[in-house]
Amino acid sequence: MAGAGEHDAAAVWMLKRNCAITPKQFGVFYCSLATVSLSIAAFWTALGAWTVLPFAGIDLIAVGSAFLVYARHATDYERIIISPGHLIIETAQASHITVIELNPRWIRIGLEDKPRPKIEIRSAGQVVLVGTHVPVHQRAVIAGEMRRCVARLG
Amino acid sequence: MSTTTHDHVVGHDAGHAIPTGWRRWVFATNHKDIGTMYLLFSFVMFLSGGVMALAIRAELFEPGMQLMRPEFFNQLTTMHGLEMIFGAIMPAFVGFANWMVPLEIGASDMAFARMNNFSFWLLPVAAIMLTATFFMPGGAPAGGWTMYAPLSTQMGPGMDMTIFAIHLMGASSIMGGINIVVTILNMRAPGMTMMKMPMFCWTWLVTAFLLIAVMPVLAGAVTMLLFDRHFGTSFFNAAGGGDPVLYQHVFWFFGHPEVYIMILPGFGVVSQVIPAFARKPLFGYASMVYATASIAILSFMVWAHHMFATGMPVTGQLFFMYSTMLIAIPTGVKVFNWVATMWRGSLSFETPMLFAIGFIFVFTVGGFTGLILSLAPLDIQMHGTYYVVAHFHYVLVAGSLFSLFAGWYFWAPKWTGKMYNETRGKIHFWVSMVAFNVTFFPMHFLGLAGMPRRYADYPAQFTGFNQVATIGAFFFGLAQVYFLFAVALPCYARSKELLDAPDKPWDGAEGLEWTVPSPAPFHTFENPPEVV
Repeated sequence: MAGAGEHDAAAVWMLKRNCAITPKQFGVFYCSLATVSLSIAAFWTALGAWTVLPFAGIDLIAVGSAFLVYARHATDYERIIISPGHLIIETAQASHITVIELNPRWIRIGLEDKPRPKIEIRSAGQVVLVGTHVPVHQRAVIAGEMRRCVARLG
Repeated sequence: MSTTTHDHVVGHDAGHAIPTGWRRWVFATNHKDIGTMYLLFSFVMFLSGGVMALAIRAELFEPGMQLMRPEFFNQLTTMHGLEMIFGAIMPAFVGFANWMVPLEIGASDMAFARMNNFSFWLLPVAAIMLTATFFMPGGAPAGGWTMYAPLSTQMGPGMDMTIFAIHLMGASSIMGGINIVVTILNMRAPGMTMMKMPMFCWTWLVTAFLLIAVMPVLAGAVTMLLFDRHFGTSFFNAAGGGDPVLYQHVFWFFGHPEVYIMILPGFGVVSQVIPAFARKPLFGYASMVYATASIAILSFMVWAHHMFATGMPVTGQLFFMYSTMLIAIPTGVKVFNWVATMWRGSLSFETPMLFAIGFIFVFTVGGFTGLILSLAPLDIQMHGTYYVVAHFHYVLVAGSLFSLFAGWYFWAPKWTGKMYNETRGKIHFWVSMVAFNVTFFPMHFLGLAGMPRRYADYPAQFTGFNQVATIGAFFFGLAQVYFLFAVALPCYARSKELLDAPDKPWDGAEGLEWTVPSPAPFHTFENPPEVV
């Protein structure tokens, strides 16, 4: 999801993927599934059918891994703030946040020369790629908005 | 039902190359392509299982053995069940889920696109292994789709292949279930709260939960069979301290929720088709959601009603009898809500609606016979007779299959971009409906008169009803061939004789899927819509 706003002479783009559930709700769902599945497996193990238990374990590990892989990146985002004299790129990836500050007077914004290109922000030999969470067809539009903003504010 | 403020037409397929040739299908990660492959696979298995059914019916046309050996007859009944359940019905609903869940919740694809590909491609491998058992020493498994011990522990190597194939199909189902759960929970469009979700998504969420919970039980059961066969264990061998009845308990603990796995998504389809053609919102949406969840919860508590004749304490019989009867309550809520949705609606009777109403009629008959079978004293009389065969075919053929047809006719314009031929659709419905009842209704009488199921021969007194059933079965089979060649293939071949489908071909239909063009572009909802 992309959103751009301007306040205090700064423009902000918040780029993040759509996520309809919080990690806590996801955890509650997983716990309910694990409770049901393990209760069933424990019941049959107690009656002698212990082979159900390892399969339930494999099943829950698979479900848990899938949930983790998805949830780990569910809150990823890229925030780009352009203000007079500052261009700040804040990237959250799997709870790891990095902040890069560039001088908007010395930057060039374009698209990568690749299929499914990301937005490329270049400054003094440094290249930052953004737009992972934006549909491909919108990246050129957002890059254009950023260029115009830099020309106006930078 | 949700509405949206998003302009969906802009941006579909922009900036993407659409893969072509065989790579598009073998390496498919697009939910629509994978959905189409699931549907194609399930239809092939439906035809394969259908041919087996017709061979069974042909043999039963007259008393005595005419066409095959009894051993082969038993192989056919077993493989017919396995292929229809694991190869036709379940994958067909997963195909529907692949196509419709992302479109209905406003997601761009399934959450795990590559896993989606893998879970599909496990199925043809498993199906080939299963079918190949016919050519193995001893032939295909012949102990019934339930694979009861000790029959299954004594069979030839075909049983080992079957066990492996079931493991693969189970793994595929679990991966499919994980994908659907994660997609529905995470990828709903902004504003699409859980209680605004279309019923098809709700029923699939519950079904996926059931799948993930019970598939390990099936895996455990068939693994114990494998261990007993090859590794010297005695899980089901009384001589070694085991108990063959344990297998029945474990199997049916999976088997009964499996029944709901095969019908709940059908409930979801019908819950969307009926409001569209009644031009009214679904009556009692919230109660439908809670009824679905109730059925799922109860499905864990009723398994031993399949085993009244096996023997259990009276307390056990009473528990399982009453818990089974309880299922009639949420199911009754659903049937009531469907009828109430139609009540004073502005009804029209296009083919999807005909199949949906047909579903309600025949599924309710199957539900009532289920209620009769839930009564332990009656079940002990009817167990293992054709009454049971009639009951579960009313639920699964007329229930699951008719709902699948209702869904196909409802959504095929969106999938193919063509309106199917309405006259041919109606012919398909009426021939299917009449032939189905001609096939299976007499089986109630056969069962009540004491004709046992899974027998290749029968006394002459049962000839009349068997002949009626066989004639009906062949007409039913012909109706499905007619559907393939006269209805479905012209749509997929984009026949010029068919009208182009508008974005929303049904004026009473609601939901995000009708906001995208027909046929749905390769990529949809790359930018999630806002649902208000």
